[in-house]
Amino acid sequence: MTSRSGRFKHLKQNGEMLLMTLPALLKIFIFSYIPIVGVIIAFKRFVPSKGIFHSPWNGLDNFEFFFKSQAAWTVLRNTIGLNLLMILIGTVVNVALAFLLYEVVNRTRLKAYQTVLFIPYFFSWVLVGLMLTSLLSPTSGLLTDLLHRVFGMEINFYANPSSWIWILTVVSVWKGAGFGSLIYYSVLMNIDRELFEAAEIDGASRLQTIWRVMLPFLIPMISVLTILALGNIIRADFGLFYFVPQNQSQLYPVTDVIDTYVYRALAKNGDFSMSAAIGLFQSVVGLVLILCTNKVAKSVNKDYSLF
Amino acid sequence: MPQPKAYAFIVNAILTVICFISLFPLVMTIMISITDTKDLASFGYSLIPRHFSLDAYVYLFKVPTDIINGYRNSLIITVVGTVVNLFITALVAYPLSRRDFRYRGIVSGFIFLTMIFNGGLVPLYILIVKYLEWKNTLTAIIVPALALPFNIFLLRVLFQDIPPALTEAAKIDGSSDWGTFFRIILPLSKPAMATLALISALGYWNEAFAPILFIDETKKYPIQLVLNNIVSAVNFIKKGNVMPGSVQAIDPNSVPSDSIMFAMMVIATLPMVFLFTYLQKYFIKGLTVGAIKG
Repeated sequence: MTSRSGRFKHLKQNGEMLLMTLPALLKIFIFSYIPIVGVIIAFKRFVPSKGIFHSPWNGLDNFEFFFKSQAAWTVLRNTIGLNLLMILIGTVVNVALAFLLYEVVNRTRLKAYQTVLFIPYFFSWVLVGLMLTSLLSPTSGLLTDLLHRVFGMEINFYANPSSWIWILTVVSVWKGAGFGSLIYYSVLMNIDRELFEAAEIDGASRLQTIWRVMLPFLIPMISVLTILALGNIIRADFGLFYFVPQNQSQLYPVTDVIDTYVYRALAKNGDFSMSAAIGLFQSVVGLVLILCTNKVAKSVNKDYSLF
Repeated sequence: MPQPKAYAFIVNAILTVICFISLFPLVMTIMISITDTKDLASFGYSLIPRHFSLDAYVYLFKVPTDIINGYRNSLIITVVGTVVNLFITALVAYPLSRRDFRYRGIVSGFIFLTMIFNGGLVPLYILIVKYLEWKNTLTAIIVPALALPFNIFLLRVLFQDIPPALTEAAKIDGSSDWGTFFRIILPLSKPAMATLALISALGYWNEAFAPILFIDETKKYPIQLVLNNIVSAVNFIKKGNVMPGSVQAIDPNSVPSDSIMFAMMVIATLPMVFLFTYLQKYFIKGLTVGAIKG
């Protein structure tokens, strides 16, 4: 039990440090905690002139309106499906790249590879979208042109939604490969090289060493990153899904995700209430997912969990 | 590991191909931006310019309003945002890295909760537009991205690498916590601060979501929105119209319209690529430590 004066002593001792945390805590309070009160809009028919608190209640109408719409199924499927695909392929590519990089002994070469792989990480999604147009545009794209000349194919990617499942996945993996592989690479770097050499001396082939000896060292990191990603599976990277397909409406059947849908409902149609309802749904599902994935991780191995 | 020659060759060959794929779009963009516009019209895009020309860059700086504005806005956002962010993030991360800070748990929890739950986009939008009245201000882009939980926890992990003995020694010498922070922690944390500076600057420079939500005045556009609208602007010029916002008519034949877009893409991207190569040493170390220990 802390007495009153004891508590005061703690405050005094920690006062300076408490003061240091103040600017950040104030910002977080205003921009992350106060908006939580605003979720009541999801249960109201929001009238801008009346404000949040004086708009009339309408129960679950906003949720009903969204979930009964055709779009609900599409955007949920796209968000979760594409996220899963990107997590899966991204992990495989990043781990494979880390193994490849680990084999490079020449320091200068290694540095060069890592730098080049990292460069796309620094591109904005707007830029990526524009670059992609110059590759895929039906009239002048370099890739469409090549496909036409070599294989005689006439493809208009911008009129073919299903091809965007793979285009978006490739773009996402391409942009994240430098960062993703670096993480796995540094895990490998922290392990004594002699361990892997010992396996080879015992007669294991290079692939066996990679599969049986090196991969197990990566499993904890793979688990942690996958858990993190699964916890966020209901959220999509707005930039990737909005700027990369350049908001082309004929591609919505594949490229429209919760975040782009909410943005359009809010900014283009001014539908505050329904957007708020979808946003709240997304937040609640996200919370549940994080708690669940974390629990699963904890039960498998305590080191895998986040909290 | 023993390296048979053929094996090393295969590894290097695969990595070279992958690096080529990684870099190809940027090389293509640069090459098209320096291709003579007549060649582009008659032969389409190609990787090796038949005739080299800097017309697009010259044109961009001759009729500059949108681009210069965008550049200036993005510079303000990035510099102000990064400096303020470094300061308040380091200020909160430092006490959190100290074992003797009594409120460590509560403060961490308060920050952590916002990582796993938030009110969604709409309440934040209403707060910023209706209550703070920040529509069409750069503040609306800078402030919400300050003191992000991920950055705070990253910096906390990096600060924990500083031996506690140093802080304790300073305390015995009569240094206040603020004094220790400015005289010992910050000077010792250059790699950590460089990492955060790069992450923060990158985020601000490339940010396009907050701008399309909060900014609709063209002259307040950051560079990414200028870029996002350049396609329509270029198409506009191509059709023989004038650039939106400019008064005198422009002869469409004198405009290197095709290469302009690519020149703009290059101009908008190179600052980040240079910053990365300059800070790379710190960045890679900082991020991997953060990822592994965090």
